[in-house]
Amino acid sequence: MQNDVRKLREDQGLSQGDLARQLAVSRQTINAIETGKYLPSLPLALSIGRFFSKKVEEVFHDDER
Amino acid sequence: MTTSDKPRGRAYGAALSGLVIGAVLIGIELSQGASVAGALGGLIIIVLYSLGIFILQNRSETISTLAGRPVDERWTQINTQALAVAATFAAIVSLGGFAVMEALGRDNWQFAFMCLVVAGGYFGGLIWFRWRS
Repeated sequence: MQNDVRKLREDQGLSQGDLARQLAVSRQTINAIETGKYLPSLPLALSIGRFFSKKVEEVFHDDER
Repeated sequence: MTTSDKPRGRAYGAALSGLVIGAVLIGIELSQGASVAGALGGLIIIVLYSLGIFILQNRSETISTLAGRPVDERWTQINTQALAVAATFAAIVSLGGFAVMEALGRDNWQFAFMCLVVAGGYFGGLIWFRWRS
């Protein structure tokens, strides 16, 4: 599973800490999601998609893409 | 639906638990005739640990988890995984201790009891969470 969280975050000029505060998680958790070490729960994935005004499947996608 | 970073559980829960456990242990030690200095020695270690994680829990996500207050869902998962590792070690030591004591022909009821507790806790957990989900 890959994701575009880092790209979307950087496009908005946000730091990992900024995004972490917006999503109410730790900065380490944002880093772990971006590097693929941690798969977020469905509620958190939905929150991430909502924050970037994207569908979940536009942010998180299979490795083949 | 929330992924709140507000730590769950009470901030003073771990510290209070440590103090209660320390008080119980010091009571047992004193009731068995231990010196006050000796009994206090054990209490001091528990109190220092409890106070340490109470004071530092907001400075580190790891310490916050040690204090029983994981800051978000990832730390909750890490905490659960660490508990599973600890339970696995407890099961291995209990079974190993039981087998060794059995082989040596020594009393092994303590290890048998621990095996019962670990196995009972596991099966109880399986049934409980299966029923809840």
